Parts: sequence; structure tokens; C-alpha cells
Amino acid sequence: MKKIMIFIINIYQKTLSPDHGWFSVRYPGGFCKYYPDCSEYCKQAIDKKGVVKGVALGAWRILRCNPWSQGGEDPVD
Amino acid sequence: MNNFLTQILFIPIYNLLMFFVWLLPGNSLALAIIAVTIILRVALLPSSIKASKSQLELQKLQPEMNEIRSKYKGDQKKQSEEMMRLYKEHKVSPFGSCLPLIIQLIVLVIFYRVIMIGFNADHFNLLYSFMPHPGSINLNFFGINMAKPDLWILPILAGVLQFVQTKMIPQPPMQKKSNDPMAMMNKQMIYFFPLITVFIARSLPAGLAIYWSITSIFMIFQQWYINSHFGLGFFGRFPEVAASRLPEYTLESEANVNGTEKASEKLKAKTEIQSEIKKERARGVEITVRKRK
Repeated sequence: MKKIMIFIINIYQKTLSPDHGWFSVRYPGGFCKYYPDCSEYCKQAIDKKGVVKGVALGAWRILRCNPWSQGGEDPVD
Repeated sequence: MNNFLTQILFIPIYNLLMFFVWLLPGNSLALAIIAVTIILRVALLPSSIKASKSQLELQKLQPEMNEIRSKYKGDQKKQSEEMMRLYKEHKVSPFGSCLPLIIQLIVLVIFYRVIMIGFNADHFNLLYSFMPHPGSINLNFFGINMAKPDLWILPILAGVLQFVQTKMIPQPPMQKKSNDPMAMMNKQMIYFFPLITVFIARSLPAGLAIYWSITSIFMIFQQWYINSHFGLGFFGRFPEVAASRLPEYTLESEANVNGTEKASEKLKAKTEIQSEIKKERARGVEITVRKRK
């Protein structure tokens, strides 16, 4: 399950992701206001914390990645 | 979980849509979709304008960023620290947010479901009690049925509008030798993506093609405003940048390899970098190495 989730995120990152994929050329400084960016954060969270907690953490991160938040460094710990 | 999502996402948007069906003349579903789309885009407007502006500011800093990337290559932590310092110095930072991207997708899915469950009266029980009852719903829009796929007019319109919109997004100054695979891919995607849009829109109900088209039209006006704000013209052309300021992509370039000591050193460094990248890729980490002369 974990591997499947990470595989899906990898596919997203290789294709549609504005931070890693085809469109990353347009965003030299990165798209996402957080570091690591949302998809990378989800990947690391799922890898480190397991699927259930990882997905929850990832969802929470995406909710925080909204126009009213500050962004900045926010690693999975 | 499914029920929860239905309660917090599906039903509110269904109600909003039905409210506009009631409000707008002719009980037209198409007009209601257009209204909801515009409301969504207006709600996202301040943040997306701010994000586009910060993106353009960042593109001006690209040479400095490339310097940092090549200086601390392989050290992600130090790299990001230096980037943060650079951002602070120039008072810019990436301001893209991932949530709006996902919201757009969710709205698309919800519109799809709303159109799919149909518009017969038995779904009016999903309406909140304080909502006015639209009575009947008119699916016809200039002779096109919103609930059935439209094969030509709307999909092609959506594709063309999307092409114009992507074309308007300013491209950062390219590398001198344009063999960065990412940049090439990006170039192809400008043409490829609208085509995909046309084919997907052909297989979905016409109402979704309307959503797509209106979103694109809105984005075109937004990008137009931003481009003129930065004096880039309608199609967002960057002013010419001195060649020395352009980032260079040296991995593929076979520049003056002569067999001198320096050249072999260069070659060694190159293979080292490449094996490093392979290792990083195996670990699932992507890095881009750029080098300045």
C-alpha cells in the first residue's frame, strides 16, 4: 500500500506537479510556498509515518497550503 | 468518509448551483455553472494574482538561484537555507498554494456528479430548507444539451482558450543551449495539453466544458492584467536578457573537450555528477544541476 501511494505521488511529480513536473521550468523558485513542497511532504510523511498517519499529515499540509498561510520550512519530523 | 465528503462538499455546491438556477432567467443550468465558476475564480483572485506576481519576481532572481544550486549541489538543506536568505534579501518568496489547485479539481468532480445524478425533481430533497425551489431546470444552452457530451463546439473552444491561456504565461529566460529536457517537455506541453483537454471534454457532459472554458477566459484576463502590470505585453514576453546572465545547462553540452588535462578533469567531474544524479534518482530525490561559466 505504502509503495503504491508513493508510486502514485512519483507519477504526479514526474508529470503534472508545478514543482517537479513538466511545468517546473515556469517556476524557477518552486511553486509551493512550503519547503519541502506539498507532494514531497506527503511522500516523506507516508514513508516515515505509514499510510494512515502519512495521508492525514499530507491532507493537513495541503489544507495549510492556502492563500492565507505564511509558508516556509516545514519538514516531516 | 464518502458520506462526510457529500455533506461538506457536494450538498453545498449543489445548493449554490440550484440557487443560481432559480435566480437567473430561464432556469438555465449553463448560466448557473458560469455564475458559480466566476464566483470561485473571484474568490481565488487575490491570492492567484499575488502568486503570479511573486512568481515573476522570482524569475528575475533566477541567475542567483542557479548560482546557489551549483554552489551547494548535493546539499539540499544548505541549498534551501541559502534560498530562504535570498528570498528574504529581495523580499520575495514563492506564493503558490496547493489548496486552490485541488479545489478547482474538486469543483470539477462535483459539477460532474451534479450533472450525472440528473435534474429530476427527486433530488430536490438535497436542497436546504431555506433554499428557494427552482421548479424546473433548463438544460438547453444555445441548442446544446448540458447533460450530454458536446462533440465539437465547446470542447474545441475549451482547448483553444486553454492554449491561449498557457501561451500567455511568461516563460523565464531560457538556457543558452536549450537542451534542458524539462524545458523541452514544457514547450511540447503547451501544445499537447489543450489537445488532451479537447478529447477529455468530448467525453464529458457539455456543462463541464463550459466550466473549463469560463475558467480559461477568466485566467486569460487575469494573466493579461499581470502581464501589462509588468510591461510584458499580451503574450508575456520577457525582455531580452544579456547572454552572460542566462543560466547554462552544461550536463549535455560537449563544450571544448580536447584531451587536455583540464578537459579530462571536466569529464571526470561530469561523470561524477551524473552518477550522483543516478544515485539520487534511485533514492527518489530529484536534483537539477546547473552551472554558470
